[in-house]
Amino acid sequence: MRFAGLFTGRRAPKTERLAGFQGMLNIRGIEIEETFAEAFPLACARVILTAEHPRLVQSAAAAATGNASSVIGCDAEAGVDRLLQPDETPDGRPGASLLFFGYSRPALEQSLVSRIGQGILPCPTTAAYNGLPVDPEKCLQVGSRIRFFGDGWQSSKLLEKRRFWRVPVMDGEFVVEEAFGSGKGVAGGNLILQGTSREITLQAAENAADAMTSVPGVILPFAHGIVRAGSKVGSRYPNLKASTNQAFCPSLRGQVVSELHPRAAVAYELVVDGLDLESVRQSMRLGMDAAAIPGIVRIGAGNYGGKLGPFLIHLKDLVGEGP
Amino acid sequence: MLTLTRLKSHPVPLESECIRPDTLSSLDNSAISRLTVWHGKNKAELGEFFAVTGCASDGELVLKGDCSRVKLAGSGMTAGLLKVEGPIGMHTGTGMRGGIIRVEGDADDWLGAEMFGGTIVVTGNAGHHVGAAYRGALRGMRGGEIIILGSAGDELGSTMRRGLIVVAGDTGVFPGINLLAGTVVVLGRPGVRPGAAMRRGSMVFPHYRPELLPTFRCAGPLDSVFPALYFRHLEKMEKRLELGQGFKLKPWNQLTRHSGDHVTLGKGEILCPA
Repeated sequence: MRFAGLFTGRRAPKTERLAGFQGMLNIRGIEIEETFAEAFPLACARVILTAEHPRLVQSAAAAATGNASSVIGCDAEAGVDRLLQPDETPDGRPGASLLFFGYSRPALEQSLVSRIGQGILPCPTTAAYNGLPVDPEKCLQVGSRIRFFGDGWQSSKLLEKRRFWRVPVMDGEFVVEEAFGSGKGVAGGNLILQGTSREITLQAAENAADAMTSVPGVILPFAHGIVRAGSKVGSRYPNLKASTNQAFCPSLRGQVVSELHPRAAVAYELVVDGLDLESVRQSMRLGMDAAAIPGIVRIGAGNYGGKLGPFLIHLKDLVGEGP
Repeated sequence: MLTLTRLKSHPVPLESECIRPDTLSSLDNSAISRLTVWHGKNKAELGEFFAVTGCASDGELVLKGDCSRVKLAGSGMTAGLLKVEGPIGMHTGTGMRGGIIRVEGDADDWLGAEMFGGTIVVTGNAGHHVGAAYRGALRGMRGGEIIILGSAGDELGSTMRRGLIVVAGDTGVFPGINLLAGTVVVLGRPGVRPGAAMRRGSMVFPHYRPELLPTFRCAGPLDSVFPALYFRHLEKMEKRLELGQGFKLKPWNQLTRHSGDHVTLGKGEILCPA
């Protein structure tokens, strides 16, 4: 085990040195806060989107996963898991794997119907397929609702126990699978990076976001994968479910009890959702390693004291497990 | 694996509904030999016509010898593998619900008639009324897959309701007559009057354009991933069922859609080259 202060090239203040000798973790000299990310279960689904050209795939993916950063204010959390080569898709065309997370299966089903119906169906040449195993009792009826857009001219095909709906549209047919599998995903995995300048911290956050999204089955639902508006539960305004986390706002130092490192000028958060806990843990592990660059003074995580979710991802465990 | 070897061929048909791997798997060989079959109008025992060897417990059954007059083999079966090394008679796999029948030879008429599920592979030719409805019945094949590497006879898939029939060779007249739904793919040359009176469903003739009935209307080139889905499905099927050289799957070019049959509902389609 390595200790903070020993790798920083400066003499640490007494309080930090004490903390270090009491077991403070670090990665390449960057302090890893002894805390945990608090993740919680959400219903999840995977949509395999295909189109004639990769640029159409990206447009449709952006439309379908837009305005889906957090279930606090959106109907779902969504993002592009990864782009797919033609040999990985059901119809042999370029595609993308999209992940969607919602509070419940009915809510997620409604989100998929509206997002595929409004984001993917209108985009030229697209098709949408299920990307998770289907349990008949837990599946989401998506294509079976979108088919009504066909106004009676739709038709279906059953292949390998999967039903595909063919909906006539102005450039031919939109093909969508009838049932989509759903699973119990894990949302709310997160890292909070604190750095001495915005440039350095943003660079570290981008490094981390790239590393985190490289894990299959996870998404970073916020724009660019990075959050500058970390939030706390509730507000002094009764109708607001979440509000700014003042403890991490550098401009409020001196006015509030700050949780920022004394040398931190900026903090960024990375939020990760995954199909399972291990994917989220792996993503956070890679993110921490990629973010540990000079100028970052602390890597921590957000939690709600263990009251929100059943999955507590301790950063010390991730460091202990290695990259 | 249980092996039933035909002792000698006989022109009188042998109705042997008991030849199915799922029910035989729980019987010993002496019990299998005593199973009832009908030889013409005479009741008889299976052991009088077949030599029974091996063990049926693994759900695999092999028929050897000239079974061209053995009817109803594999009818109603729900699981297991029935392999026929040679020709097989009429009504093979009728009403089957699961498992695989593989005929290494020709199959007679009514192959897979009114079947519900499972897979039938015929490496030779098949007779008339493949996957069809029996006379007076409302629906034919209601699920499953039939793959014929040779040619098929008349009225292929007549009144079929669901499922997939693939014929690598040519077909007789009236393929897909009265089709209710489902998909028929003919890689060879289809017979005349395809899809007559079809209500829904798809008939795909990727390499030959048949002469269509005047009650079909051309909708122009079809821009859909649906043929690609089927093509990839056939590619997978080719590997899964080890269809080998007999299948000869060639790339499909742009297909033209013809809707019909407009003497009925008109929601069916024939896809073929322009």
